[in-house]
Amino acid sequence: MSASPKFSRRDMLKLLATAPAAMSVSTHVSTLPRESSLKNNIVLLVFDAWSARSTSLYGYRRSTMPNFDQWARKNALVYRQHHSAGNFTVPGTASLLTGTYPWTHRAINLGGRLNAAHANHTIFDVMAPKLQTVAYAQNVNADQFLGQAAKAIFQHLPFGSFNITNQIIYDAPIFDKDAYTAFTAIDEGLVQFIFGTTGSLFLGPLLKLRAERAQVSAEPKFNEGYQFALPKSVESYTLSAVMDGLLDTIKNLREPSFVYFHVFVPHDPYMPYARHYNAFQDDGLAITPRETHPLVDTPINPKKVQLEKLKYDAFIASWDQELIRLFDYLEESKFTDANHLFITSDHGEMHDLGLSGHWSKLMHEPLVHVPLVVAGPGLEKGQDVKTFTSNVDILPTIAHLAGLKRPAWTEGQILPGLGGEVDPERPIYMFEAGNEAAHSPLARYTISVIRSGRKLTYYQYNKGSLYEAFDLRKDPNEENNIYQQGVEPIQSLQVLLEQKLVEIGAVYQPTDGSNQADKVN
Amino acid sequence: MKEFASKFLPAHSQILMTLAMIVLVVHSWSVRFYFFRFPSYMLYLDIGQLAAVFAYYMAFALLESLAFLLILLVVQAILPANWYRNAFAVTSFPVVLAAAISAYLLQNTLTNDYPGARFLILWAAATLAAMVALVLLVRLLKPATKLVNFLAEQISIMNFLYIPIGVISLIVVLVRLVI
Repeated sequence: MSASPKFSRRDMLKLLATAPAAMSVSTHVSTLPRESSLKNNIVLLVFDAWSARSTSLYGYRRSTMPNFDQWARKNALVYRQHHSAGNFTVPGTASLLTGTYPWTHRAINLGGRLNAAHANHTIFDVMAPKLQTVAYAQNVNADQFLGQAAKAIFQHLPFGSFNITNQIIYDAPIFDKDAYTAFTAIDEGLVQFIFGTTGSLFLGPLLKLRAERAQVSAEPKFNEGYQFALPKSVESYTLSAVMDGLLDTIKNLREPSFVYFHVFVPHDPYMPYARHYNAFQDDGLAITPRETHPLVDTPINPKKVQLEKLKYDAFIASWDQELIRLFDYLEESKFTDANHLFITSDHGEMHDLGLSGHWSKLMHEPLVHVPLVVAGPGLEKGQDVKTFTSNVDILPTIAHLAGLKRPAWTEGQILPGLGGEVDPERPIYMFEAGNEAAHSPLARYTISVIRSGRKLTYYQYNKGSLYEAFDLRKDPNEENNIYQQGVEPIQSLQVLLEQKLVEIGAVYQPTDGSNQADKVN
Repeated sequence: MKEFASKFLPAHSQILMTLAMIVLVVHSWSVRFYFFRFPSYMLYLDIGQLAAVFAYYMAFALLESLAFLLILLVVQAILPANWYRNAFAVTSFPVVLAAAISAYLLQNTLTNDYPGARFLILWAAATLAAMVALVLLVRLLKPATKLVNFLAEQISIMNFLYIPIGVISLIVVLVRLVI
């Protein structure tokens, strides 16, 4: 019988002594960018409800995003006039993901999703043959689109992946095959975490109480430095945990991938760090809101609007603080030398004209003018693209960068600076019909068109119709309505708009030749 | 098994009458809520999706009803037979009624902020007190007992409506979750 090697207690202690070193190496190795993962990735980061008009890079007078500003100026192509096709998450995100306008994809209602004809026309369907697709959305409404595109998504990170409380039900594995119906029936009905009574008499309030208690319990443990409470996207989260999740997702890419990462910040409720809130509180840079717009249904008083604006700005600044870690990683790993990174938003946010937020009939610039910066190999760093672009352009552009053909069904064009041509005469559109049936002709809506820097908006509602026109080059804050029937160049915009309304099948009611603001009032 | 049932459970007819009260309250609330949301659902759901959402509502209501019934069965098994088991349906009626009113009021009281343990304990205590008071009223006043018996019998028809709907809905939901 051969003598077996002895493993003494001393050997065991020696082995244990090496454990911390081994763990340290393992941690270090896992954070090192892998050769294979650092090439040919395309990452699309979306910050929810992030308006260009509240971002210092776009000229906002409060220094809300000094770190983003500095990084973008040094590393990225900055699209100065990028617009979302919708003024809230559902249409805005759907346009971003499908490269089509809201009247085409028909995801126009809160809780809505892509119509059947376009359910397979997502950016994931386009990219999947070429790149591994990874997707995450911290907004429940955006996450529904990921559920619709499930077959084309290689890795779908569940909604609650980076949240610290866990109450949403539809993202449980049992509902994998029917997540959208589960979301509509359970999370938006039977339990209804967000507001109102629940569809379940007994279990509904109990589950709601359980969720609220979890959020209260999380506060002392995780609330380090937030002015009011922890940020909340139905479930509570921390900015740092979301950033950890984003960094982990990027660092752990194993194959060349297309990554869609949609974070909820700076969507309301605005929960800034105290230091940013305090810094902005008495900086003398607050803007006095204008009078209520006739199409704002429930006006918010100006003081409250101003306070919400302060919180919103501070929340953006708090997120900017977290972005330092992303930018540090990008620099260290030289990520954008071999990969593309898009940073944008699904829609904007407005604190003016009696509105605080984005859910409205309005289509003013703070609601639709969103940041877009792109960094990647061979791009001109720190350059501005001043032509007007739309978020329907993101899909064809990303397809182009991946060496894929522009899908025939997309209504977008390849972005200038990334393979596309500058076309100053190209019209871009924005559309809202949140209270219209997705399956019916559209009769109550807002549509805007921008061409050559001039913007024409047409509101068609039960109260009446209204035109507004602004020259965004001279009047970026839309203070001077220049609409006059029959006067060029607004007349040609109106013809264009009328043609578009006929084309999309909306019921167009011609006006009697005058601006009908009085009817709306 | 039979011995266990006769020892710890009320008569079948009593259980079915109690179940009928519960399904009436629970399903009616869910149906009411579904039709309250219906105009908004119609904006973005097609007919198939509308039916699927309704199936979720009804399946959930069935499970909720059975869970409620199970709690009552556990309570009656613990309490002396004369207190509860021997008049299961008559005693359950005021319990279900008080629980439903309490849940309705709680639904309308809750905001998105946690109201605190103290509030909830007081609420639960008030609900329990109302239940006991109503049970005593029904059990001690003969006309009340008669009336509740009559109502419980009439309501039992609800089992024939809501239970099949709930079962079919549950099957629909399970099929959707599997396929």
